[in-house]
Amino acid sequence: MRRNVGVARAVRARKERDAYQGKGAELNRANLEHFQTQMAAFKRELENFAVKHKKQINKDPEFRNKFQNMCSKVGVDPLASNKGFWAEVLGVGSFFYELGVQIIHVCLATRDANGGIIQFEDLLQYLRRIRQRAGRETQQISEEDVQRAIASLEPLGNGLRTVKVGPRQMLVSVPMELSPDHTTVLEAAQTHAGVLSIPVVQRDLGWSQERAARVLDALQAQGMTWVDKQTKDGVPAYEFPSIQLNLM
Amino acid sequence: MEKAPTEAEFHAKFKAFYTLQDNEATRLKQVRLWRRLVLEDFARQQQQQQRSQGADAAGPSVLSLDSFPLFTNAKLDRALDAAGRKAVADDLVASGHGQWHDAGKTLYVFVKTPSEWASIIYDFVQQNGLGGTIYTVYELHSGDLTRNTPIQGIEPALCIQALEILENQNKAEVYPSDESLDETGVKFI
Repeated sequence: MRRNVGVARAVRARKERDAYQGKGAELNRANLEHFQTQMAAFKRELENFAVKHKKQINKDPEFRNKFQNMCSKVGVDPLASNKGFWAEVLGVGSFFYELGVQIIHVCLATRDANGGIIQFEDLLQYLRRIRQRAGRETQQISEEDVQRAIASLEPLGNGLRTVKVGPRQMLVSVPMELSPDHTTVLEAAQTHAGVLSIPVVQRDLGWSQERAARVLDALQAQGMTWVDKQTKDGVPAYEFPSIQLNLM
Repeated sequence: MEKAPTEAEFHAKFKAFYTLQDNEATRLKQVRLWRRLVLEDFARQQQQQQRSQGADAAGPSVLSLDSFPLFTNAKLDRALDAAGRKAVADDLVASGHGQWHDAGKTLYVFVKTPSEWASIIYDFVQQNGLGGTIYTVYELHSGDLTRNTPIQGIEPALCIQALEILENQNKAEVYPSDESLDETGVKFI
């Protein structure tokens, strides 16, 4: 006699499947609920933490950076928004907004003189001076803060771009596209204290005379470098105000 | 922490500042920075002169293209090239801050342009109700009338230029004198 065949078997199999599915859904629901309570608890803890360490978050760039990373893992961006709970708790919502405005201010104020390219070190130094004047000197700022503020300005269009020049970051505030050749020459300019010439670029980078001249001319057309024609050896020197001068 | 203004940075540290730039946009910035340097320098000179010698000593400020000290920087071993000097002078004239004296060689420099002076003088006249009476240029630059005002010590030639601007605006009548600039008369309306 063969059992488990025919209609009865089919019916039982479906029942089992339904039961499993039901159980599975139940488990899923339980998991989700569990996870949701955990997230809520975590968020609550994060908030408590934020309130407790408000001062340090505002003051200490490294601490702020770690806190920010922790928050972004759970999808909260407390420092970037200036509305809602976080801003009320921390009073820091406008932090990056304010910093962003100050960065734009520095770029505009120095653009005439440096052709729209600025070293991060200088940018930080100018920002600190501005903030000191605004009575914000107790709020230290770091390179990460500046990076984040620049990123938060992105919705306004890509007017500001960071470019890696050798080991250093530079901020470009003009529409010019910097090719790898351009950044290579900018890097060379930094190792030569802001003064280059066509022969120096040829020697340092192993380039042809035409290539060196073309790149230096492009940077000159952009106002990023000026030409000194009074050198002893008669070879024009290309000088970079963004590297040589303190402009703010 | 006070820092030197941009033009002083370029002047003190940047050799290329002494070569007139080929790039047009850069050249415009360069000439503008030079204009500021020149005007600041003359303003300083005038203040010193007035402090040490009194208002009467104020003569016209003359810039010589060959020998203006700021055009040379011994520390950097650079001197503004001839094209640069000419561009700076032309810019001063175009902006109302200069007037050729010996064309191509020397020019008068006005820290304030004649039209800036015109409005300063006219404001002073308005505030003190001096309309309707005739004054001489001497009274304006050295008289009790303008003591402790910025008008005290103004160069006579510059003062007359300012008054002529006011005359064109129907705010004054100027009565030229054959004797001297100082005796030029003016009636404010």
